[in-house]
Amino acid sequence: MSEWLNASAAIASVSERDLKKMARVAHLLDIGQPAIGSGLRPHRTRSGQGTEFLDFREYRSGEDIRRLDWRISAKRGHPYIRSYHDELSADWHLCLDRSASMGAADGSKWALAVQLAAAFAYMLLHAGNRVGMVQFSSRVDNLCPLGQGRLQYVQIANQLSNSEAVRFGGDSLPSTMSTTLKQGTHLVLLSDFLKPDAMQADLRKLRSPGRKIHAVQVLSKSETELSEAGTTSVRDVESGERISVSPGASVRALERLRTCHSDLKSFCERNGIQLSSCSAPDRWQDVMLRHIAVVTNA
Amino acid sequence: MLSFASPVWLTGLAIIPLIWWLHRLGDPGSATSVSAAFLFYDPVQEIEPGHALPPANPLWILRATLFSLLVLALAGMGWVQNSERNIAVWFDNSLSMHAIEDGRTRKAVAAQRLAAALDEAGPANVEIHLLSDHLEKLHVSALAGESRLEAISRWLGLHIPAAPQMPLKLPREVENWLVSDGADQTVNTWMKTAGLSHTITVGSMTENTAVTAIMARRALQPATQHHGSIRVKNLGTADSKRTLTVHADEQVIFSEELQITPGDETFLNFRIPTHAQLVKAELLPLDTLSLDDTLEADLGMLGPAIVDFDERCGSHLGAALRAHPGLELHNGTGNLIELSVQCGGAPETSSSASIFVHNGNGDQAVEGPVHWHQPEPGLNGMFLDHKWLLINPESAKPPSGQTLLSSPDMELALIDKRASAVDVFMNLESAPVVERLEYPLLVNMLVEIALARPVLDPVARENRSIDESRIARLSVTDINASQFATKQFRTNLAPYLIAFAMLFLLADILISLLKTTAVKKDTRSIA
Repeated sequence: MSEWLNASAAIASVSERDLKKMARVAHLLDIGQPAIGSGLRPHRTRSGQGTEFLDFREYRSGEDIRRLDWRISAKRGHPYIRSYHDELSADWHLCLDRSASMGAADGSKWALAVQLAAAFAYMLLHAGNRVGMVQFSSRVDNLCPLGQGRLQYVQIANQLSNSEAVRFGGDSLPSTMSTTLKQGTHLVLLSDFLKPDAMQADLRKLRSPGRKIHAVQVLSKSETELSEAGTTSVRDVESGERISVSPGASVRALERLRTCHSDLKSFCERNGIQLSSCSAPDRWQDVMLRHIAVVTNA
Repeated sequence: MLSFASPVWLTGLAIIPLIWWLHRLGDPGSATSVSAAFLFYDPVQEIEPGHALPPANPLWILRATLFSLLVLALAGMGWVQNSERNIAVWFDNSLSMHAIEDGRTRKAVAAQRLAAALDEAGPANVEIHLLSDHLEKLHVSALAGESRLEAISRWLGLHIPAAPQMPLKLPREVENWLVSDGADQTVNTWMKTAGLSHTITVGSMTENTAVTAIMARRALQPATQHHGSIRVKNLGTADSKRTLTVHADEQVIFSEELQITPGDETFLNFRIPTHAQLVKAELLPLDTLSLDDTLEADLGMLGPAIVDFDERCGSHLGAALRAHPGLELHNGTGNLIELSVQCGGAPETSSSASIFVHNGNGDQAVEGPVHWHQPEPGLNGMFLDHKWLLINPESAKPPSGQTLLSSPDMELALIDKRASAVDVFMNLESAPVVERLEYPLLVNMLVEIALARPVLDPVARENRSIDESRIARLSVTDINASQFATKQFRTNLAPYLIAFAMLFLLADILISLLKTTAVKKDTRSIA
């Protein structure tokens, strides 16, 4: 196996020492802040972290009647339920695009994406969050249920080690995860967002109130370079579409890529999505720091 | 000039666009895999994503060329070189070619068909020979159409009918054409092995009756008439009813109705007045080949030869000459004198033939047998005993002459053929020889040798070969010039086309192998 698809080697290169260093600034990622809204459950089964009562409020149709506070309801003559401060910790899903475009070029995109997924998993778990992982293409390919603690990181790292991008075909459809992802979970989306609309339609479907979305656009420096001189046609590794190219196609492709990124960036800014981008073979540490900088500046 | 043996195969070239289209659908090979093809859309070309066909694999040109070469080979492509065509025409000018059919002679029809065939053959170096005389030839390369026909007709008109003389060997570097009616047996036999390229045969009629011989000789009784004889033959396939008329000079001396069955011949005898100079036989009415319906013979040779006799030669010799039925003696000179017989002294110069008898004073017996030297007809059959002969050894020998008669130690007679002079050293008046029965014959022989023609019993004769008068076509296998020309001058390019196609195929295989190797290498690097 060559280096670019050797995800296990990529994971192995992510040392725990570097992860620990990175975890010191994990709070800057806006992953350990108290939630704005109220939670529905009194507490999490997490030692050392209790729940804090927030308020009573009127029962709204559809809410769980088990949350009714019978005493207050009897006193006030109207059904009331108890609400609490949400927990400091939250549920996060790492959404890793494994469509064929992620494995194209020299494969360094996939290696970097795997490393970033591992780093995000470590940092999120380190902050006490529950973390799960979904690998998707045109469908949900792999699912790692929510979990927490070191064991969960090991599980996610193992799954990343054994994963690889689709060779040919497939598509990047994050919206296919909408039924898989639980309500209220936050997302870290790792993809190249290489679609004519930069996946804006799919991102809209993933948005929901209170959901945090971190997006990292993983590209390759050779994304728009044609490997062979005199190339007369190119083939899309996902759709199989072939088109003829003329001289200057690389320059035009780079320009169009910038335009797509600019559109994506604008969309993310409008919709509160923390977006950063990187180009393999960037170091994952640098990418993480850039993303933290994006979040901090936002 | 390119030509195709089976042009229908050229329709296969219509498949070339299909080859191009299939190569657009096939594995492009040179396409580079990218993450997102939409980044490379060319706004100028306005290619619709998902509908744009890739450009055809460049190998389609190689394969289309290979296919085209095979199609051209199947179509039998060849190169025809008309400019180097050389044609030698052998024209039969025999008597049968003058048979008239539908108002035109076979020769005229043949000339027209030859001119048409030459026009159809295109540019060529053309040389026409007469079969009867190979040295007679006509170049008509620069002519065409009517002008060529006119030149051929004019040239043929200059030559009288003559029996064909077959060339021993035809030139192999040219096309040899034969123009004939196929009626002559020798031509028919020759053409089967001559290696002819093309034959033009004319004539369809078969009926002909001909006068094939007319003869006349002196009759002993009555002395005022000659004997005449005629041979008439039917060479056709049906009975022939004709009237034979014989003219002596302008006078009709014989006429008879004839009915001759096919293949038979008739002999007719008649008498001719001795004063007639010409006898002519004619069959009426004239048939297809009118030239052989008449035949005439000159009777001049039947008349007596005028001899100027020198009385000094002796009475015996004079008596023998006077008794000769073919001689008429005169004394003196004149234009009619054909033979001069002189004796004694030196011979006088004469414009006519002469016999000079050298009579000297002394007679000497001849020792040993005598024999004739000149291969004249009848000489060897006449025996002369040396005991009959006496000679004069003192006679002066003429400066030139060949030995005609000699004994072992001396010459008895000499002949100078250029001067038609015979010198005789024998004593023709001696008793031993004049008493012999052979004496008149010896005198006649000397006369005939001097005159170089028979005078004792001449026969006026005119013959015509039966083969000349046959007009029915024999079994002739026609040869088509176009087939021959195609074989000889057309270079078949199919082997070369197939060779080139094989080279293209090898190149295609080589390129495919190189690409496969490159793909495997790339696949290994991916794996």
